[in-house]
Amino acid sequence: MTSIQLNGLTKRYRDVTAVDDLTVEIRAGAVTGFLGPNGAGKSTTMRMLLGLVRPTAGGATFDGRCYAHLPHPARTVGALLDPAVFHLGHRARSALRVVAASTGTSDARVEEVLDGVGLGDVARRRVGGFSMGMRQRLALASALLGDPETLVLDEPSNGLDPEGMRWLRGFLRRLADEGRTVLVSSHVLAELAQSVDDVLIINRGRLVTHGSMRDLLDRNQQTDLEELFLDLTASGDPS
Amino acid sequence: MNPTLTAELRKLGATRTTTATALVVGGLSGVIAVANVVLAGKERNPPLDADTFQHVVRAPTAIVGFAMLVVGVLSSAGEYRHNTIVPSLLAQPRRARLAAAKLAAVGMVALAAAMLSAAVSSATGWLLLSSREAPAADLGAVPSGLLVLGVTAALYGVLGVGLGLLLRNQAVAMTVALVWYFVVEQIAPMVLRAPHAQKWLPGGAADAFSRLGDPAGGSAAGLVAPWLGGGLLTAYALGLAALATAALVRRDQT
Repeated sequence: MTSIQLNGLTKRYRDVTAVDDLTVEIRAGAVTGFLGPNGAGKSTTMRMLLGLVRPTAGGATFDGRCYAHLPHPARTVGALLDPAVFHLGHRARSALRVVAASTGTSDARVEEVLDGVGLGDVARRRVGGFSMGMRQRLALASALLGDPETLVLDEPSNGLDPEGMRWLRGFLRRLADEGRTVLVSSHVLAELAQSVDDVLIINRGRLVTHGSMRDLLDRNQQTDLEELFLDLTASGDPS
Repeated sequence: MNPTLTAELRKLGATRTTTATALVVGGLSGVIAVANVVLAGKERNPPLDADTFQHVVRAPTAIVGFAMLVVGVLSSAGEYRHNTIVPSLLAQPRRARLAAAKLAAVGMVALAAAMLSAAVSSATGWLLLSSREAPAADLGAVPSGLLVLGVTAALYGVLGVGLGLLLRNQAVAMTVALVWYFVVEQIAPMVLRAPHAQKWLPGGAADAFSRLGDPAGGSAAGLVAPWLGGGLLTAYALGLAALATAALVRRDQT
């Protein structure tokens, strides 16, 4: 059971503050929806969490350890930041085998995850011939290779067809029920509302609110996540 | 084997560039061997003698080095072009180790390419020389020829990886490599009115190193001594690799 801690996490690019003193703990065994308008700082936060972007101040840890100091980072945390992270000339199976080799995961696990995301039958095809949805599934497969305790997913439903979205919903739920930590960002709030337990909303790099979705809806006298999100981000007031 | 190095080798093995490079290196090594034997004694070329075989083995050194420069650039800048740098950094967040694995992988591929080149040119040269009643080959200089071939290939591969990691843009990195290799080293000494400067540049150093142990070559006029050439080329490769590693460690991957 791994929780995520953001402690005063801050990122400034010259005069622009992308993430501003973000402090929050994301609990294990729950799906946490990470919401914010475009440019709110969600992707920068996720990249700092994963060691891709260096914080200007503060830090992000998994049970007290930053990503780079985890014993097996990619087997502890599975990440999907962008579906376009594969060489288009590689076949799907080869692309995943490269990732598997780098994480010390077996080739047999590659076949398992390819089947798991519904790409088993097209594993010999080159990634360049894949649709957006298929690339998204391949990126998800890559995140799952190490059977990680924690998943950090940026817009995982992008490009997925209705069947894929339904599969993803059930999949996230199952992971959380197994005690894993799932942090997922999305702009498809109606979809997200069906799978999240907790909600973390940021705006202009600052924390707006964080807590159980049910509690936040009740506290703000709202009935759905979209209304809650629009209400909180329009005012920009932290609750 | 180290998982990061295994992954880098798999990446190189999975791309068509590596296969194409192997074909080009093998094919050109054969063609160069044929040309060395067939054209011997014609125009200003030396006649067939005991040194011809070792010349055949050494002749593709510059071609193999250039091919490895290209492979190095494509393998490192290609990571940014295809955005595969993200999963690479996620799998190995200690970036200096990732850079080291990339350099080692291209170095290993360069040694394999040098072996392929040596095998093709030796076999072709031996067959042709046997059929032409050439004097018995002096094999004494062949080991140093193989050393030059392998080390030059590996160092040019390292230069390519360094350049690619430093510049990140594949087209820019490739252009810089080509312009440097074919233009800058040739004309810069003339433009700067320092004709002897060329011997201190990577190409001049490689040229000097290529004469190591060559009984017909030795230390040629206008070049530094072979061992100094090898040392210079190594210093250029390691210097660029260190700069590129420092850049990789410091940069945000947005």
